[in-house]
Amino acid sequence: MFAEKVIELLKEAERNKETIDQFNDEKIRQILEEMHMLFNLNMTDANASSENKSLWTAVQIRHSALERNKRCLLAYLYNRMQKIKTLRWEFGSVLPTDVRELLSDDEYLWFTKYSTNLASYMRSLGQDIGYNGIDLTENLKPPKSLFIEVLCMVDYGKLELEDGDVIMLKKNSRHFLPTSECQTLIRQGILKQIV
Amino acid sequence: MTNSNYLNISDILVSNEKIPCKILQDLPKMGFLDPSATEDDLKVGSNVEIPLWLGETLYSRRPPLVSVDLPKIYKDAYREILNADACTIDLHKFAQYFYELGCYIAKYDIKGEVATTLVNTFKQRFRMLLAASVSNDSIGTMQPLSVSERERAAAAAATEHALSAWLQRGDSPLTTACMVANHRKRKRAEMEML
Amino acid sequence: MDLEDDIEFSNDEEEITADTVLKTLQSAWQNERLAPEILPHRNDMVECMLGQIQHMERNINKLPKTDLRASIHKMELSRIKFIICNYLKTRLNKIEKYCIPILNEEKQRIDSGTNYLTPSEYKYAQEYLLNLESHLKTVVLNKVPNNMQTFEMSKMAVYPNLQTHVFLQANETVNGVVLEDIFGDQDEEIDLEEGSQHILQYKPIADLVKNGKVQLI
Repeated sequence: MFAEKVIELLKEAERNKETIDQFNDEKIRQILEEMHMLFNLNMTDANASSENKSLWTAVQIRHSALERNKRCLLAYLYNRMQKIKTLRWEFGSVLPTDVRELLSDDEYLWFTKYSTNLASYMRSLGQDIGYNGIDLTENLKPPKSLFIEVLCMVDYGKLELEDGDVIMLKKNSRHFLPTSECQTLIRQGILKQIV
Repeated sequence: MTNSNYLNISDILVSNEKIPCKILQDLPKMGFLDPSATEDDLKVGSNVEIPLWLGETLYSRRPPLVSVDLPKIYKDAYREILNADACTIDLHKFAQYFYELGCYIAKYDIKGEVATTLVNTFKQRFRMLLAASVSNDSIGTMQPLSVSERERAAAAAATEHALSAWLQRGDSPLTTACMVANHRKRKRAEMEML
Repeated sequence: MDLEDDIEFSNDEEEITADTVLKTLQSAWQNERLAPEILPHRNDMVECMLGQIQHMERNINKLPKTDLRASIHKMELSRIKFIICNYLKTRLNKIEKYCIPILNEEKQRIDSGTNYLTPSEYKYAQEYLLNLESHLKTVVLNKVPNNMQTFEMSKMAVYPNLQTHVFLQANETVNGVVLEDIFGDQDEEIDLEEGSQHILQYKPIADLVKNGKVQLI
């Protein structure tokens, strides 16, 4: 059947809705090969159809298969792009190495372009009244209290607070900190709120 | 309504479902579409099961290269069962994309009965979704639901859970971001397997 | 959502203005979250509120750190910042999702001076689409057979579903709202009494949301 390999690719992507998989370079290469093969068959049959009119149906059918493959490949990439955007909002503009490795080089380039565009937009906010921009990747949940108690999950190192104090975030250390200053670290899994 | 489905993976999977078609013209070199065919060419009159996307393309040619038949579950026998008591059918087993495929198939049903059955079926099965969203045995209650029914039930369950947590606790603690948490979980699972 | 805010200022005149701005911003935020399409921007309100926040922060910093009022005001500011961030983020999400139709419609709206996007948002949308197109071209389109290499805008476009149902409250009495009957010709006309609440399809009341006669809830 036509366009089966590309469906495998999409089913793989659908199985893991919560994370992003390794970019499947090999499968994409195979699908592109399949497309070129179909195209070449069509060239042959299109030429031959001047003598044998019935071959025209084969050309039309293969063309539909080519369109189908194209659609599926684009959908695969597009769906990954949505996940990559989430990576920017959740991990920040610097990705951990093991996450970075899941993206292809082209995808990483797109990630940096997306990041730059976002940063540029955020910087422009409030420009006319003297703001230095607003970081929209913070303030993601409505704040309930000014201070919260947190547990440090990894050896993070020094954290400098707004008022100049410096605290040492060691694994398993507990701290009582201003909410605004821990939000990002909590989202990144470095701190955990103690309820 | 303009079609925004081109990049939608769910729609692509729906249009991959097989539908029964009758071949209206000789199709050279397409014998492979029919597993029971003995020749390279596909002959007029053959009955084949091909993906919806292919069926629709071939049907839309002038003159049409195939005619589309209704899949079993949208035909008379099953329609009667669905209209009588839709909750008895395990949609996951028989037609996991029942509603979505049905919307496409309804076009080929001149009498318009498929469309009515779709709406009717959903109305009846709605209570199964509600039950699944509050049930303690989510695996059991979700089992006979179609893909989209499961998605809705899961969304309802998540909202219900969030609401009761909020009512109990009075606030929502800040949590690790979704993808970050899932990524870590997956990594741990992979490391344990090694 | 009901944030009853008492923003205290040393100057009584400012109290009314700031409260109105916040309430306007809150309903704009609510509408934006609940509407399926992007709405006209309220940048005037956003900037005004940002200005007020600056002013309040300066006042708070004059108070001693342990003053109870400082904590309460800081909470207030934090909540207002959340609303602003969430409002802008909701808009960005829609801009990314519907970038092709939004850019097309916005081009026409700019000509008549009725743009929905701020200049920054418009620039963001253009850049976003450019990057999207470039990525798809590099990875797939340039590698497929020759006659398939076009980036087909019309196929790639994602449109918001304007027929989705919404809850709304009428801020004033609106007469003669036409509810289309797509399948037949039984169009209905209804009147919305001031203060009444309804569930309707978004499309027929879209303009009412945009001109403030109706609030999504």
